[in-house]
Amino acid sequence: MNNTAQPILTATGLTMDYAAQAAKPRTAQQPAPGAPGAPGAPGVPGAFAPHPLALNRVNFTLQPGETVAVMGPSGSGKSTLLHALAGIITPTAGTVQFRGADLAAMPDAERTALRRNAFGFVFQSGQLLPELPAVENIALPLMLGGMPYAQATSQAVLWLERFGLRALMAQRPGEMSGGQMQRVAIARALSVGPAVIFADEPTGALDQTTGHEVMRLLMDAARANNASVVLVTHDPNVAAYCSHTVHMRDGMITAAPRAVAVQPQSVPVQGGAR
Amino acid sequence: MSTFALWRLFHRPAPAAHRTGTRAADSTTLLAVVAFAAATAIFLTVLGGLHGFIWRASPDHTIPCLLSESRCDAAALAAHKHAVAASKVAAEQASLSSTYIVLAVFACLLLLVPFAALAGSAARLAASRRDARLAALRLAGATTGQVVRLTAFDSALQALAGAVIGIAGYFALMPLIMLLTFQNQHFTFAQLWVGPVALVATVLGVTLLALVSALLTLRRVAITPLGVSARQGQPLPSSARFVIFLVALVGALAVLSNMQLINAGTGVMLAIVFVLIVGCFTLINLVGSFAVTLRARARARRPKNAATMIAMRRILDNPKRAWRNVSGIGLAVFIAGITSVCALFGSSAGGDVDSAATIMMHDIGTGGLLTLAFAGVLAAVSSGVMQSASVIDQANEYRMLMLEGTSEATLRRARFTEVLTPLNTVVALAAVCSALLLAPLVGNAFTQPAPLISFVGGVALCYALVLVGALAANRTAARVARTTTRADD
Repeated sequence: MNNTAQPILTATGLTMDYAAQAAKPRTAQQPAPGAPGAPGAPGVPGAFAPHPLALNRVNFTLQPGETVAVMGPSGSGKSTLLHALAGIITPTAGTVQFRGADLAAMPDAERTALRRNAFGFVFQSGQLLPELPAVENIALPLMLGGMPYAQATSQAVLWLERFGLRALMAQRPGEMSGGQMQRVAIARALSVGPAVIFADEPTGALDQTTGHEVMRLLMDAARANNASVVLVTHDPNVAAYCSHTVHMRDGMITAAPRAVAVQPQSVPVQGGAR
Repeated sequence: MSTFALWRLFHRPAPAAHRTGTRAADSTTLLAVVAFAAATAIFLTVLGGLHGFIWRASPDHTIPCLLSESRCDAAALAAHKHAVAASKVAAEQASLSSTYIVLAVFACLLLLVPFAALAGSAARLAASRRDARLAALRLAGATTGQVVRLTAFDSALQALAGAVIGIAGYFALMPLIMLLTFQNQHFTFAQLWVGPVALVATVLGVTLLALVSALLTLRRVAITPLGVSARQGQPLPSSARFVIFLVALVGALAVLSNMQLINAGTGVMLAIVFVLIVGCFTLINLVGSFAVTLRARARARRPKNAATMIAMRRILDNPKRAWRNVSGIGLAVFIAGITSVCALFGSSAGGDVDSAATIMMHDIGTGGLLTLAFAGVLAAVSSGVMQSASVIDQANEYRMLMLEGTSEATLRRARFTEVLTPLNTVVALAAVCSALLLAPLVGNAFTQPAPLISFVGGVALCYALVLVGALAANRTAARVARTTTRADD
């Protein structure tokens, strides 16, 4: 990875032990590395945990505008890493810093606002509210940030037009194809002008052709908005859209980030399949 | 594999280490059991009151004797006739005793409506919280009939447990009811005790009602291998409902404006009140979902914030569900109207405060207040249960929103607005309907402060009960939905 610029997101010694988390109440403050109670100290996860850890002392760095794919088999800790990086879960140990600020040290309300304003999310499916038409689904994060309805929906319409989805404006998710829903989800993720987009298997529920269309749209839009991307996938063709790929196994990053040899498949553009 | 074998498979005791995943099921089961317990306790209490009036009206305190003097115990009958002949008050009370029984039967019938709604909502809760399991069962090859029977069986068992607990509630309420005065005397334990046969029949009846209600409800819930969905692309209620409502309302007003409730005989008055309540309840149920749709549409046009937008869209997604969640209060509002007017009649009837007619008017007021309180509690429990099912249904979408940075407060506001909008609509609609329909019968009663205060107070009490029930359910169900998923699932 290019380390000359100031990283936008840094994770150090990330450890996640779900069994330990379930046994104690969730806390915002984590012990500093090396301090009693930190990984490596006796009696804490990472040192003597008798079961596999979801994350095992993972270090991760993301530069502004950088796109990184996280690959690995099921249960390797990809999604857990993404959720820890996005401040969705608090790791058992280790720190995540966004622009120098420790996510775990933030109050929950501040972390929530950060997710709303600085991060964008694209999941495999189910993130759109089924009751809301496309335009309101896109306007929702803007309204959550305090924007009035009229202004938020105007901006949402612009995003729909940019993605060629204006005809879907009044459609609800149940009336769209999977590909259309993912495009709307991408528009929603980008509508707040995020610094980082977290995408968890964004093409997992799509056929190959639609998946590539969605990936092209996501990466082009991210590039145009100078947003970094962390993409979780098990598909090397999807990972190939990113500038870097990291591989995970048993909660650990197994190889140093490297350039990916696979190139994205070129496929003809078609409408989203139902 | 039989349905019972399937049921046993899912109800084996889980080892302590694996119990976290069953927390949602435990909590919602508890909620449903509490709902059935409350309904049973209230039903038995009202039945106890009915028994009390029969006990007082029947010379030997039995139903056969009440129906035919030839089946009475001779000594008891003679003593009764002697008492009636000796005292004018006793004679008057004896002549009105059948009216008391009719009123008590009427109260029982009135409470059957919210009770049936409660049973249906508990069944919906049973289906909504088991969606993953039911869908997986269907995927594994279980038939729709098997999963429907499994869920209905669950609901019936919850009803059985709730009914048994409700019997304890009936005994707990009894001392309070014994403090009340009807026919110028307190109830005794012997009067309120419905007997073991009635207890067993009630428990079986509650269980059966829950079973039937669950089966009827589940017919409208699609349990497919891909998930459980109560959302079947509900069409918005047609405006024809509003036209029918208006025509019926104007017709009723025309008929009622030619009557005077005060001047009518007791039998006619009761018949009018009965038809009024049932008719009004039917009417507001007919137009309710349409009114909620209109209100939600108006607010969805330019929502002032994200919470309002989410809430209004959820209401518009299924206006019938939104209406059902709070419709129980519609009946309570109308009972409040009748009660306030009866209380006025009781206080203003004649100069002889000890006359049986005056006492009866006073008793109708007291009975109305009791029925109002019971209807309010049933409506609150019903709203709570339905809201829980609704929150659990939407847990996944709300969880996604939280992952994306939506604050818990916003989602809480959305759920609050989702309850408050239809609640305000039903209260306004029922209040206007009852005032309009009662006005021609009771003249200027509603312009006097006492009935007006009593009416507004009764409505406010039920409103508060339903709101508290729904909001408590909101919080509990949201917490349950949140804590039962692993953070990265």
